[in-house]
Amino acid sequence: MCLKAVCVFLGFFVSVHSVASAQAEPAVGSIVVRAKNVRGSQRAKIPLSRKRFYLFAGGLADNKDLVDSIRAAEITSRDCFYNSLKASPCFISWLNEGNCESPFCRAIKREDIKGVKEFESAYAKGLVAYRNKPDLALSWMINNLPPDLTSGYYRQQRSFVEKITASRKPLQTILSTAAGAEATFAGVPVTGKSTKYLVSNILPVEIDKKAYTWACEIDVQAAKPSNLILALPLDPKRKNCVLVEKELKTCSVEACNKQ
Amino acid sequence: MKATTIILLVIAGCIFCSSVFITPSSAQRRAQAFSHNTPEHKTGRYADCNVCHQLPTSNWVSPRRDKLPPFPDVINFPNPHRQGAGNICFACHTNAAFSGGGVFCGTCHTVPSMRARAVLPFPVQGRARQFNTIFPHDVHQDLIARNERYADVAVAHFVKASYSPSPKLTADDPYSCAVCHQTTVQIPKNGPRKLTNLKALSDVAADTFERPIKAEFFKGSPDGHASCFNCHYQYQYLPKGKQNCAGCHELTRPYIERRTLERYSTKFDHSRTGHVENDCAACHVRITQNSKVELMKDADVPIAACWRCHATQEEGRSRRILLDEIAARDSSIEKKEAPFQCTYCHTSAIGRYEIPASHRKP
Repeated sequence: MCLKAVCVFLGFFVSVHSVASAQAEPAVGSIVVRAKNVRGSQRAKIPLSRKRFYLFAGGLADNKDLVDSIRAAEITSRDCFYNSLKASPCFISWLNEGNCESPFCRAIKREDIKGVKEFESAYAKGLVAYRNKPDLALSWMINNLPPDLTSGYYRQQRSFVEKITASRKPLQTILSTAAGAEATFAGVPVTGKSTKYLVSNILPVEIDKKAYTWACEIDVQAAKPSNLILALPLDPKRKNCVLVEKELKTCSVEACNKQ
Repeated sequence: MKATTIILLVIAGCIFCSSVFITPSSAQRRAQAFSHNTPEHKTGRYADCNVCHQLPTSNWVSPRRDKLPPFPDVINFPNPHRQGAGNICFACHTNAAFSGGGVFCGTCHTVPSMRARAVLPFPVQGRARQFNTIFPHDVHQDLIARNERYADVAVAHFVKASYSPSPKLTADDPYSCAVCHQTTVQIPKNGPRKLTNLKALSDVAADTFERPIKAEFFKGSPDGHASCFNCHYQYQYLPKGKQNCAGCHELTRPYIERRTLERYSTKFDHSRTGHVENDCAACHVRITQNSKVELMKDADVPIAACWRCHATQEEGRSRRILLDEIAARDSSIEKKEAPFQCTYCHTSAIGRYEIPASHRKP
């Protein structure tokens, strides 16, 4: 009798434990964000490459405040930002050549220095600081550029994102790939049959003279990648996606007269 | 015989006592690593790293141990003997150097004696590390790995038409993950990661390799200031209030650095066609949002990244290998045979374990 009771208890314990451990691993899905026709006049350029996307809980209706903040936000274009810092035309032109947002974006080559006053002065400073070692002065040039010119635009963008997401924190953020401009959110929790999420780039993407921000809702199912297509232009019949389009203020950039 | 034993015991006792009670100072008993964790070493004026450490040290122009071209770096112990050192060690350890046969000197010098001249190579390899490196991947991904690339063709030239979606990245792109993580030159010491929540279904079997493991399978990580100082020399671009060594170095409990790279999928070849042309972020999806590496508890590459190419219904072994191996495991268990071990990506040390739920439903 006693043995039977112990066996029943053990059987009950094992079944409860197995149910508990089965529940321990929650259902998850994934979201693959892809672009469709998101191109500007320069066909070779991939505007959505290396862009950060943010994942929020809930659909469009749940994130109405967030979408309203995106709509209301003031945008400063890259050219206007560097113009406001009084960067030289040749410095701005060097950034534009590589479609760079900051000098961290690509290596500064020796032939780039001449004619760009910011590079010339940073290089000269480096030669003094690093005991006249030209290779060091070149490869460490970022250290000797004015901080506003190097990280100022990034800091401005970051504070823009922090302001927009102040009341609603993203669950995940992900950077899109360079070549395919594709971003994958993995391990997205799913409760029930499907769960609604919102994906947005928050920071407007500059394409030609306009800035674009997508905020799209998606139903995520467990064990199944859900594809989210960001299109340009957006199909007006598509109800689960918002595209905020803004004209960019133009800031005249003088031509670089590099000898 | 009895007298000899007593004499030996007395001698042993004397040696023991002399080693323990050299002097009252704890520093004098230690000819080992300086501890940054000692309260007196991290508070008051010593809270500022610059009180002891110089950036760069005066010997930075000397040939380096790592054979890199010299660059301004910290490659020597703080020098308490230099003029203007402000008694950085001897303010408290005044007597330490003059007693105990100079054991104290052995902290930095090759010979622990009052006549010590030569210093140990800095940092001393084999000694426990006292700092973690703070490296927010998310910030760096946004800044240095964030460049858009153009097709490598001039405008208005006739080019062959193709459906290639975009320019391909090369591993030596200067401003990508490869800035810090380069393909290793030699096969590093490697081993399987520990699986804690899964059960091994069989014993380890001998491994077979369709593609022998080679150096190109692995990527290294920076081990020094070389790749950081490009942008952060003299604490440039570090967060406000952290523009000092603490901007990157976080004091922690001493630990011996493990040199073994631990992998779930040791057989993964980064250099293989199909892998090598992909952007790192195509598979390493978690790292782009990671602000502290220590917080990342599991694999950076989720199985979902593998599923996209290796769990298809297409022809070709590699295209459906994940589904095939899962089916083979299930079938072997159903037939009550020895459990099938997953060997395409894993060595037996991992492939013999239960299949995690994520592999079936990523």
